[in-house]
Amino acid sequence: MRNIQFVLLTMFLVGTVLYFTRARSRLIDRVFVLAFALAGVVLVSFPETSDWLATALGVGRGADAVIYFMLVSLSYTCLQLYAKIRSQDARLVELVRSIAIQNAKLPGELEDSVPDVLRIADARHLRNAEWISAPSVDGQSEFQPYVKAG
Amino acid sequence: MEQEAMRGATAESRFVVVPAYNEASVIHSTVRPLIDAGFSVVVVDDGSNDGTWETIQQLPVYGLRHPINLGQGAALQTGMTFALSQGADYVIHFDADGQHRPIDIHVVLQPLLDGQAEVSLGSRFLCRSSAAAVPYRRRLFLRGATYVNFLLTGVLLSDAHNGLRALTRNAAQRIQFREHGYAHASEILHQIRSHRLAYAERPTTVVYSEYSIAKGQSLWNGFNIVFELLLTKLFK
Repeated sequence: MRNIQFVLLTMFLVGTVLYFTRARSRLIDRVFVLAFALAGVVLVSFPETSDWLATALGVGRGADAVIYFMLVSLSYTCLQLYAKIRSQDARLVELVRSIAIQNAKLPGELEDSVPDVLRIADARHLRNAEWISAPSVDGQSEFQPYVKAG
Repeated sequence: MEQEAMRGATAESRFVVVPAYNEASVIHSTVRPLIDAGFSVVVVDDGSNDGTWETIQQLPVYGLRHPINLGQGAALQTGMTFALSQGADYVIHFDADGQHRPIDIHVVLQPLLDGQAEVSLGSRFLCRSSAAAVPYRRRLFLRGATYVNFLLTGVLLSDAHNGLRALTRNAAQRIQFREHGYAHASEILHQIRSHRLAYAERPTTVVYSEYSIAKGQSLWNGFNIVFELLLTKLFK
């Protein structure tokens, strides 16, 4: 047995044992992980299998075939994780929204202390009050320089 | 029918939703005219850390606070959901950075009051003088964005990203922002189309202050928005 085989087999075994003892998961995930680990063990123990697989698929070397499959499954895993993050994000937003709405401050609830800076801003607005006037009687806004006549 | 005409007759049932993220220095001057005009104002503090929330405490408005920052789309949705729960007949979106003129609210609201549309969108390009006020690079950027929006949503507008909009109660109930960031501006078009809501564009003016330009969208952000939209299409 070559050193690399020993290293890889140990990694597969430890990874699988850790997964089954520590992580909770759905049945489908367990089956998938188990199949993945088994395939890994077989491929590492009997490297010729991958060569046989490669020839059957028309790929030059066994290692290449394995890399191609790895690429596909890794990209798939990335997409799955991304979808998961998005759905978690949506749930987080719902949670934050309900917290915000539960703790709504009503217009009547005012803090007494208004900093002087804001008082000054207030006074300025009172001076400009006519600038923000409501629509005139005919329901049209008074300020419509952009509407062409006719 | 008569009852329908009565709806929205009072200014208090017109809710202006102002999403605010770190706008402590301007939120007061943005919101004050809206209060004075008699609107019900809902300020949604999107997890600011600059004292925006403290400022809101001193204003006679509805204040909602996201404990963490979620994005403008999420903040608008929170405000809309809340406004509807308070019996809003009309919901108006209004940016916190002072880029909109309060007077323009009446302009975008008008088609809804006339029953011509369910959603009314502000546009800075419908009037020559306000279009000319838009800095050249932003004009190019926004022009490109209108076409991207058209490709993604099938709705071609003159202004791709205007924060001033008005919705009837019905439209606000139907439209649900799932884009939490800035992509909601395109998402709303998509939903207008999928819910078959009548829409209108009305000329509004965007006030370009140094502050609002600094806070505005960059070209890079535009790419991010497109990317987000594509991802959402992928992961629906």
